[in-house]
Order: sequence, then structure tokens, then C-alpha cells
Amino acid sequence: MKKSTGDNFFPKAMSFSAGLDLLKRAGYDGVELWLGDRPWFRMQTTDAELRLLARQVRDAGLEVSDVANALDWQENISARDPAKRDAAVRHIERQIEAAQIFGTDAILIVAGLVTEETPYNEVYKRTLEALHKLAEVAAKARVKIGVENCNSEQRFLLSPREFATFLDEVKSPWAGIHLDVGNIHDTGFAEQWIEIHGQRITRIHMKDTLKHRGRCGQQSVYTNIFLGDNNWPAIREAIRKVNYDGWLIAEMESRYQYAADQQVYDTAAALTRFISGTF
Amino acid sequence: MPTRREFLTGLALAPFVVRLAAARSAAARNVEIWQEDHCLSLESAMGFGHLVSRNSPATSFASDRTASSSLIIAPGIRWMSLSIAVDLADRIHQGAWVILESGLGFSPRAESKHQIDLFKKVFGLQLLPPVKVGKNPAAATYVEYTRPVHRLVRTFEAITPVRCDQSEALARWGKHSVCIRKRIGDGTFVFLGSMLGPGIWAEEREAIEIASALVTSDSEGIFKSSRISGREAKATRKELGLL
Repeated sequence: MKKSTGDNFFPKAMSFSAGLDLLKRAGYDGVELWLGDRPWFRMQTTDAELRLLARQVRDAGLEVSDVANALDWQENISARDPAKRDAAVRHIERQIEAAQIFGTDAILIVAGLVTEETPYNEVYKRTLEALHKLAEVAAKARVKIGVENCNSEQRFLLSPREFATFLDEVKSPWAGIHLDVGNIHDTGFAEQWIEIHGQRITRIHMKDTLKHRGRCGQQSVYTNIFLGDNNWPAIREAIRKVNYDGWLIAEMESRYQYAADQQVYDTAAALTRFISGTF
Repeated sequence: MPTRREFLTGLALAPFVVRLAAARSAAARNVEIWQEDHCLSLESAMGFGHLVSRNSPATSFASDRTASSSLIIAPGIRWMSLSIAVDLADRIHQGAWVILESGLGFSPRAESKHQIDLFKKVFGLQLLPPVKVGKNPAAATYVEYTRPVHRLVRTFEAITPVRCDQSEALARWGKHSVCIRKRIGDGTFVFLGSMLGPGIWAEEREAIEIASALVTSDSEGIFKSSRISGREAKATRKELGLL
């Protein structure tokens, strides 16, 4: 397995190249690039500029593990507003194009947002319809769409079996799950999600969760790997069981009050320890 | 004269006989599923039942045992009388392929001790006292099958370890062998010390793959291991007062 983390985890005000150097020094193998988060990767960023980013990643001795986006929370394929829906399709298609330029085979999206105003059934149908079309685009580009399980924040596809049924209905080998082991909170067990989804897992997001904080209260439920309630030995065993040998991507909230780069190092060390399977 | 317990158990072990018109193996094979009268065995029997019938276009159930059955599945077995055990051993000697799944972990200690003795006498198996997996943080989550295919399958609450030659082992749980395959006479005895049927019933991918491989494994095919000779078997039966 290989280690990665997002460019949105670079300490504030750090440049792209300095961030890449930091990841390399800390022992990561790759970087997850977030469309719409940092200034170097926006919807307006041209193909030529993307190729330049790709070269910088290579020159730093890293790979791009996958392409995520920070835009789905404002522009989702399940939105009632057609303009937002179109925008969502456009930025996902842009992720696919960027993935090809970066030489990676997976993207991350948050598909479907249930709110008080936009009800579950509507979101389900609209999301499914959009994914049918996007999966065709992904198939042509040979890039997998990893639908992330942001269960609590999305209020959508809340159980692993429902998620599996949803993917069955999408019915494309180019759509799978980008499994976040921290996002399950107190509603289940990450290792069971891994077991159920097996070969459909495109990438794994790594973080820990504080279950006693419930789902989405005032305080964040997320914390550094090994500090929370995830059963890491069980998660490690489940990964072994399903023969997942791909990227482990730390998705951390920046928490260090001082020496922010130290969290990047500590997270890399935690990933290394996790991969070793010694607890 | 059978004891009341043996009489009741005999009734409880009423077999479902599944006649497969076309099995996946080269020769057509009749399958019996022997089920005990408790929910554990029922759940497991349903899992194995789905498995053996899923590839058959014409599956029917009958209420009698079929002498020619070549595959017998005994799911979640907690109590087997001496006469039934000997009957089963006879069937194996005659060439049957038997998959016996232990439910001993759910039996009272005294009963499981009795069954351990019985398995040793009749089948030559050295079972160890069942171990509760429970919430023991040091316990492995999965049973690791190495044959017929390599897969990890969740443990089911309790396991029954078994001592065996390495050549007979099919799966391990931590340092214990839990599933073995043994040639007896002209047949084959597969002992599952960790329940597999409920996993099949719950559509667990790996449980289905392992069970499919076991069910469709030809007795002369992928396995090689020691045999109990006819002479040894006869001696055992004599020792038990059955000859």
C-alpha cells in the first residue's frame, strides 16, 4: 500500500512546491489534489497549468494518488437548481480530465446531498441518473469515480448495504466507493464497510473518529489516526481480507496550534505503522 | 436401546435431501443436508441449501435419505449420537464426501466434552475444547483458509480447534487449526471448526467462495492427505462394540 495526503493539508500559506517537498520528506508516496480548494487548482486552471503541476509532483518524487474536489458541497449533482447540477457535472468531468493529465486512475466525489429542502428520494433518483452518465465519461477516460461515504454530512446512503445497492444500480465498473474510515462515526464499523465493498473500493481515506461526539455536533468528531475510536487492527485485517493494496490517503483536519508541519510528519508515521500491522 | 436424548436427536437430524440434476462437478451428485433442531443449524442449513441449489436448474427436496448421496452436509452440529456418528462414518467409508460444521461452541461444557470424545472414537479427530471468540481484543477477527482457496472469513462467535497434520489443515484461527479435510475409507470428511453456513446465508462473499470450493471439490482432486485404512476403521468399530 502507498501513503498519500491532500494538498489541502499543506500548512496555510505554503506554496505547492514547498508542500510537495514537505510530503516527500515526511515519507509520503503521493498527493491527493483537490479541485477548488487551493489557488493552484481551480476550474479556471488550464490544461497547460495542470501539466506543470503534474511535472512538479513528479520532480518532487511523488505521484498523484487521486483527484478530489471541494466543490460538491456547493454544486451537487443532486441539486434541484439545474445550474448547480450542470456545474457539478462540469467540475466532475474536469476532475476526470485532470486525472488523465496527472496520470492517476481515480477521482473522489460527494454524490448526493440530502437536506431539509431536498428530500432523500429525490436525491437518490437524481444522483443515480447523473452517475449513469458520468460513469460513461469515466469509462471512456478509464478513470474510476470514487463516490465518498460522507454519510453523516450528506445524510445519504447511510448504511454499507444501501451504498452497495446504490452502486449495483449505477451498474458500472467505473463507479465505486472512495471509502473514508473516519466518516462512519457512531453509525457502524469501518471494517464492515471494507468487507462489504471489497473490490469496489477505489481509494481509502484515513482518519480517526471520536464516537462519543455523535454525528455532526458543534465539535468535530474527527481526530488524528490512533487517537479516536476506530478499531485499527480490525480495519487493517479487513483490508487484508479484501486484498486492497492501493492508496491510503490521510484526510486530516489541521489541528496543531504550533508547528503545523509536525502533524504532516506524525500522520505519515501513523500510516506507516498502520501498514506494518503492528499495534 | 437408545437413550431418550439419542432418540430425540435422531428425529431432529431429519435430513433434507437435495437432488441436483446437474452439479458443477463432472458427475451428477446428490446432496443431503442434515439439520439439527435449533436456529443455528437451521440458519446454516439455509446457507448451504442456497449454495448447493444455486447452480442447479432442477432442485427438489425429499424427506428420505438417499443411499447414493455423495455429498452430506451437517451444519451447526451440537449433538450427535453414537449411532448417527457411526452411520455417518459408514457413509464416508462407502465414498461419501461429508462436510460437518461444528456448533460445539454453543453447547454446555459437559456436552461438548462428550462430543469431543465421540469424534475421536468414531472419526479419529482430536478436537480441542471450543473457544469463545467474543470481544477478546487479542483474538483474530478472521479464520484464514489456505485451501481449497485462500480467503479470510469472519469467525462466528466460537470456534472448535482441531489437532491435525499440516497436510490435512484447511484453515487456521490464530495458532489453531480449525478446519481440516481427512480421507476415511473411500470418502472424505471435512470438519469445519468455525461456522461457515451463516456467512453463506448472509451472502458473505468469501464464505460463499470457500463453501463453493469445498462443495465442488472432487474427492480425488485438489487435496492430498492421509487416509484411514479400512482395517483401522474396522478396528475402531470393533472397539466401539459395533461389530
